[in-house]
Amino acid sequence: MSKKTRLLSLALVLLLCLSIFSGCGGDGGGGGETGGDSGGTSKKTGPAVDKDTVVICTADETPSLTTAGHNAVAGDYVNKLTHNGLFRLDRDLNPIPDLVAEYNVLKDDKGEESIWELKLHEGIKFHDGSVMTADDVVASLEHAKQSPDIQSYTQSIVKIEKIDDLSIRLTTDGPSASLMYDLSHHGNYINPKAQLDKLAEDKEILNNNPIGAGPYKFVEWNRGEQLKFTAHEEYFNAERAPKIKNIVWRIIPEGSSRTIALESGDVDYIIETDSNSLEQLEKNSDVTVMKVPSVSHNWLCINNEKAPFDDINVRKAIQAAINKEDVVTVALNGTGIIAESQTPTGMLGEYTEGFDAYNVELAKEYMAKWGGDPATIELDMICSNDTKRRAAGVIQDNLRELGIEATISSMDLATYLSQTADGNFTGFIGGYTSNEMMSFLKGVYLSSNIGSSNKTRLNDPALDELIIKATQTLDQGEREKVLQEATKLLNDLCPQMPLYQDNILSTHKAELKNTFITAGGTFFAQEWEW
Amino acid sequence: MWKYILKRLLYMIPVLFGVSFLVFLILSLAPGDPAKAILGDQGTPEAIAQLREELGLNDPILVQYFRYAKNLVRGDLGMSYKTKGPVSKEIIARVPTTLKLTLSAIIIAVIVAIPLGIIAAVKQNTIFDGLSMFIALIGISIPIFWLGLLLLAQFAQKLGWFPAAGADSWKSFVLPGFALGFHSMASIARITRSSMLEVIRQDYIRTARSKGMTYNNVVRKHALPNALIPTITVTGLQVGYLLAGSVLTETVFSLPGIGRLIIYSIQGRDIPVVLGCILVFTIAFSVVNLLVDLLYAYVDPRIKAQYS
Amino acid sequence: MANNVNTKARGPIIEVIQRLAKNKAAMIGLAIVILLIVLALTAPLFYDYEQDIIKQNIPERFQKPNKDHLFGTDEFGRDLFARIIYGSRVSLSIGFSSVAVAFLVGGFLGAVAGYFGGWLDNIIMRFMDIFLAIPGTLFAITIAAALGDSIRNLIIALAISSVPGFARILRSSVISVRDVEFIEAAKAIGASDGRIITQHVIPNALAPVIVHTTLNVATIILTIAGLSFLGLGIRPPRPEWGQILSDGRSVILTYPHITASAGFAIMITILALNLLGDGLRDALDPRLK
Repeated sequence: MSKKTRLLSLALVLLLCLSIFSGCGGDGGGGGETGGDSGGTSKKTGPAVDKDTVVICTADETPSLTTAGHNAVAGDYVNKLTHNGLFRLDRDLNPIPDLVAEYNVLKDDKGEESIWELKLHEGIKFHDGSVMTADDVVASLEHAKQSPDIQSYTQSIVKIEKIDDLSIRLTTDGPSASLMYDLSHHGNYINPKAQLDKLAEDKEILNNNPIGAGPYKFVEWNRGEQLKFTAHEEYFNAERAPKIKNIVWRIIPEGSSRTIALESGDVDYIIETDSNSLEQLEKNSDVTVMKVPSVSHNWLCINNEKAPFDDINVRKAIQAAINKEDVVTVALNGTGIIAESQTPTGMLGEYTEGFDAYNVELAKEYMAKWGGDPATIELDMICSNDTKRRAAGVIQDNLRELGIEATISSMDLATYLSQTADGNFTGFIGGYTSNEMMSFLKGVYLSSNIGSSNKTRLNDPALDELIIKATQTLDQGEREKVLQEATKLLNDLCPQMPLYQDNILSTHKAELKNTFITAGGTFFAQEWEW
Repeated sequence: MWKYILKRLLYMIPVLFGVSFLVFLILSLAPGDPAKAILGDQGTPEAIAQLREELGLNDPILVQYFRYAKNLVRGDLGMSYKTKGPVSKEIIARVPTTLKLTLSAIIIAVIVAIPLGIIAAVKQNTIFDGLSMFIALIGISIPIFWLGLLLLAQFAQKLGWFPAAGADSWKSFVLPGFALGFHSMASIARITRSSMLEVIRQDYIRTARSKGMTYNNVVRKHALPNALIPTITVTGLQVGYLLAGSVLTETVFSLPGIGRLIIYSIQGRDIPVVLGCILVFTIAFSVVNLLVDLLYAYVDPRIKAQYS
Repeated sequence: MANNVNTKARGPIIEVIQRLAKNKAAMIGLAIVILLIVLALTAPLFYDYEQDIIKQNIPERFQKPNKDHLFGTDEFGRDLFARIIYGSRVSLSIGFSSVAVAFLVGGFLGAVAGYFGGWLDNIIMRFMDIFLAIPGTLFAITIAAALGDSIRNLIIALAISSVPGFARILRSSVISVRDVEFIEAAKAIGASDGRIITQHVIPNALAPVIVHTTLNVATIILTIAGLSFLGLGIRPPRPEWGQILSDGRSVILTYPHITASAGFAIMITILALNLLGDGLRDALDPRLK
């Protein structure tokens, strides 16, 4: 290249830089409005809607189409299309019978209510046309009990027996308030016995050819790209039979790309909408935005075993020093609710008393009570994604007010999960999603879960006792009191620093009707119609 | 010649085992347990122990590798930790996308680069030359994913000409192909220009000119064919860059290809899948290098002589 | 190459500098590189790290470029101009130190392989073949994911993926001068292998290495950006261009100024290094012109 040309091109590069920069600045003034306008006018949501099909778009691909071979949210969505459980959670997250027509709880020899007699609906048809019987249920639950991925949802069942073709008897280890919730979990969904029997020779049969009795039949899976489903014509429950014939399930990991796909009409429904494009989508009259506060609780988790975090004053100081409003603003673009308790809001047993709100002065008082030198505190906050990194960024700045120099490290999911389960950490940004308070408390705080899901490593016998008591209390009113007591105790102990409950942000074309999302993030595609 | 090809192909075998062992070692020694990654926050210690046993993770690393290598010899890439299905299935499903992406990148790069390089050389030191080389300089210096994001914002979001994600039609590959091919385009344009310049100065071109051929004819009939030889080589060598670049491009454009699979699998410590993908990349890379060498020998008899 | 090889090294070096000085584009490249290095070294004089670089100001987040904030502000309300300037410290130092490590390790391996030849050469180069068979960026991603996110680990990951390139270049340079007469002469008078390598062989291999180094720093800065994009970059709140670029990507549709400022910083640096590298190549190898 000659010198002259290079010089010329260099000058052009600099010119371009300047022009684009000034362009950015120029856009600046009306940025918000123009963005909204272009969303509303230039791109009407694409071609005419195909009334027979709904294109759903999601961020993560399911690892598996089996019901018991994964514990992924992405897989749960798909399982809910193809399969059913004996029970299901209704719109308010209460368990109600699904495949089961009626059930009775009986007392065992010890007088405890631990025997469950369940009777299936008559004539439930699997996708292959065969009729579901008690044998299928027994085989499915036995299979689930042997599957490590969903083991925690099968532990309470000790015995599974067939009574007659439609009836099953389950025995739990003592009274179990969580059994119906557990049976609503995808891990315990019902597969045909005929398929389970073939597992020995064909390990992949449940993944390659999933057959359930659910509202939609599996058609095909283009890995990494999309899945297709078609309505199950013989769905057992006429009232809840699917209304739209086909579902195309597309995987688009990038948030902004999902938004563009919806606005250009390529997709009809986004399960996880990028919070950055919310403002723009809300201005688009062709799009309906659904914002539902989730029951997913997110926090800065602290290893309670490591000094000085074993000191309650240090924990309370950090908790009071975090500006949760700012965390929500930066991490979630303001689309979430700030945490007000050690347990999630919106569940049976919520309780906010004893939880300190953001208050720097109070935080400093706690630090003074502790009496140590804040500069000696080593806190490394592990983050496994961008949202967590942004939250940690705010906390890092907040803690500097107390003289604590916290660090942030990024880890991929595998490392993060290993380090946190093993206790090789001082802190991390994490969260827990569950549909009801008992499994939340058990998972997050029960001392027997230290080493797996109890990452604070809190070991408090009084709390353990309350949690166990709640799971054995079948009366809802009684149970609520026990759960509140547990939450109050937790607020006093301050084992970690709850930050927020994010919103579930789903968006879809305005023509799509009857959409609904539960606080647990579940939606019911079979109810949708154009 | 055939002997040479066979020798090169045979040499790939130890390299492949070396590569797989190296990557296996790196990922196995890294913190992060595949079983915990699969079971997530709610995995109980018993479930983790059971899954580790199922996946064979409790054996010493060398034992695990030899088991893997033994299967590899039989052409079996093993089972994915995450999906529990065969790795080959995961990879085969994604090869077409990466192939289409790489091809469209090469096509776009070549279509743009060669005219650019020729114009720059023929009109040396003019504004055309400056403009062409300016584009080439940008191509070399722009981060590929930023270019991708800019293209998405402009052509998918604002103008709506192309889809923002997916791989269902040729349209899906225009933007990613351009983003990925831009860097290669720059290299190809620069080499075309400099080899064109070199050829134009040769004696036979002067001879042809002196015989009264028009400048354009000289360029087309004499200069171009000779100048394109290095261009072909550089294009071939760009394939390695394109394969690595597909990782970022597929991430930006949500394309279901090998590049994206590899990132997810690294993050989830799905070691068999990572190994499978890297082996596919390595084979592709080595085969293309071999093809480039052969092509080179084909067009340059002096090199051909060395092989026999 | 052979005419560079002699003891009165001053002559050719001055010649090279003179040739380089005549190349205006290369000089501009050099000027930009020097400017960036000066900025990187003096940034702490203009900005207080605590107050100006990492201190957050949430109410002022996502400001478009204006007179108070020349490049606007980021998602924490921090001034992007200050962070970009300060970021040059991080990007350049990671870039240069990775290349330095790669040069030392790769250079050593290549020189040893080339000088001694035989089975040692074979072992080293077959080993390098394995490294070279994996596309570089991909290899860096794998290592970075395995090692974790500290700056030291990032440098290791980047350096390892650059080692084979240096090894190859040094090896071929060394082979090209290995059998030249003056080395044989040195051997004849009983100079040790180590002395011959450091005193004679390496200085003569420097030309291609300098060119490769300049261009490699550019590649590495781009790779860091790519790693940051995949979440394998450096720890916040330290500003680094790739990190700023990837932080801004989720808002590229609404606030393009964040990605633009980091993107251009990277682009101009790469551009300057490329201009300088090309210029050096021309100046060091007169046959090309």
